[in-house]
Amino acid sequence: MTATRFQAQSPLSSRTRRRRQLFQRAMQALEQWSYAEIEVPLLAPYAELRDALGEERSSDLFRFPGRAGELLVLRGDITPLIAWQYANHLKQQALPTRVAYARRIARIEQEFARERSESYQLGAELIGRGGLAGDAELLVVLMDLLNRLGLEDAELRIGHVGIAGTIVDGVSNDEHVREQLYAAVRRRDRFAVDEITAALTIDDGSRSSLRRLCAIVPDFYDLERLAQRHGGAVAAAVGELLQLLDVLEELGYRDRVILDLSRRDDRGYYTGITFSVVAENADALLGGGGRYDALLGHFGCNLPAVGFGLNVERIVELLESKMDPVPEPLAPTAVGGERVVDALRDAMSLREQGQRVRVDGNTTTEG
Amino acid sequence: MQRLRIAMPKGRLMTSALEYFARAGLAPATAESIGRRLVVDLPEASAALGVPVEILVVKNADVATYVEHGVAHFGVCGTDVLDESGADVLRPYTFPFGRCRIAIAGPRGADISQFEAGDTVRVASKLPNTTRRHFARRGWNPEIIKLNGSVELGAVLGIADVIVDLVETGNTLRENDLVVLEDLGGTSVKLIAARSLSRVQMHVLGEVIDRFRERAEPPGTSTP
Repeated sequence: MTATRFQAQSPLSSRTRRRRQLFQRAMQALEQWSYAEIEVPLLAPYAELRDALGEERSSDLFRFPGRAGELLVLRGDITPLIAWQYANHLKQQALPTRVAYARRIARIEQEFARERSESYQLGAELIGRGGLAGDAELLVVLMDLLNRLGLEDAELRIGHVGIAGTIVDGVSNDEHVREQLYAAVRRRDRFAVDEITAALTIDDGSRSSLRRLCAIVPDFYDLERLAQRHGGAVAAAVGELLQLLDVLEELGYRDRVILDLSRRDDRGYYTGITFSVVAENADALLGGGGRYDALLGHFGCNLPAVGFGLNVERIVELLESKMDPVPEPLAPTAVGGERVVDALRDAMSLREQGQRVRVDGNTTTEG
Repeated sequence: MQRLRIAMPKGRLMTSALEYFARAGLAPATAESIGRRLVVDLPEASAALGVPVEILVVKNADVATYVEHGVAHFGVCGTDVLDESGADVLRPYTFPFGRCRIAIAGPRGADISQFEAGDTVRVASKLPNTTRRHFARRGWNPEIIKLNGSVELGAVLGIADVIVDLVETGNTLRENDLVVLEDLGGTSVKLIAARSLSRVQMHVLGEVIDRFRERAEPPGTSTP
């Protein structure tokens, strides 16, 4: 038997182990809040998800024909998949239903100088609990999870789709103009807002509201002004947001929350609060989520729901220096020899003794 | 707080930007001390903002990449580059310098109304995505020839029927016997910021903008 000790450990395997460590820690934390881990289907019939996904979002997903020619969609946006799964398999569960997942997803994510199609996502969904109670529970669970993962400095950027959505929609009937305004508000670009509105016949109050949506660090005064000026859906959205902020303040999280008035429904299914997760040392958003009270209705279940998803790779990258050292596996004993049977027999024998082995390539195929 | 990085485009735009930063008390009075260094501390900004600040001197086209990827927190970049790249960044402040127009230009006497939907119009530009989007709105599907500089030559030498380019004074067009056939809108220079900024970093961004408004803007101008 040729046997040597092998010390080197691949950094790739280290990253994989860290990801697994993070998954385990996250699922344990979510389990403690009664969020049960579920499987999320890898493939689903596109015809059933089309309405829920919307045409724009669908274009980011991988779709291909199945065996019978039907179009399938690959797991890319987990929330609609869970809604579909809930309607088909989980609706007998007691409400509210709390589920968690940690899965690999595939979708086309194209940024200016970066393109990728696969990533790992973990998250949780709270189905059947609407309004403040649901929003507050989910955000507290998220903050607790972030703390337990070692992201005590992570913050939430929170807004409500009913604010910018309603105000921009009320300014013009022209979809192209509305899209331009949304883009300007989303970029906090008051100059562009002024350029676009200069060509519109709108009152100064509406123009001022659009500029207010671009605030870098909005405050309660901005919220109150928007509610007073517009009333109706805007006031209702502001009311929901303020109630939520009060709860988070009482629970000691106010310093980790940033208001964001520019948020809109960028997924095609958000109906209430939406949020992103940011951290000072992170070079990108760590995740996000929101309330989606109409999504389950696409599958025949009229239930409110709210959820979040986190980008696992970005978190692993951020925590690289803070995470517990990845336990070093026992160095394997390398076995080899002239005959493959002998090498494998030696390896099996070592395995019987509980040793870690590696069969080296200096064997022949002779039996 | 983490060191704050500002991506600056090499060249004339950086000179104008640094002068503006200096008026706001965020940079030295002259940019000469920067020399050929690519990473430069800004002690004036560090003192004013209470966080260590440095600038990264990068190519104009790379500013948005550095900011979008969070390598730099803020940057200075023209909307021509931003719109061309589609970079997903905040654009919270518009500088009063560096404004130009984007225009379709061509040989004197050319008439773009002669082209009909379905014609293959050859267009030379260093802004192919912007050009494509503009022509797509008209229902045209042009052949776009990407040039990296001296775009005017595209029309002069007949590589293209027309060009789409930035026009500042119009002198280069005139000297090459070209004229603006259609104005496609203005461009401006923006202070840009990453979308992933933390609460403290957003406050610093707000403070930088306040300083620009209060100290750097020429009297009588009001930049949104």
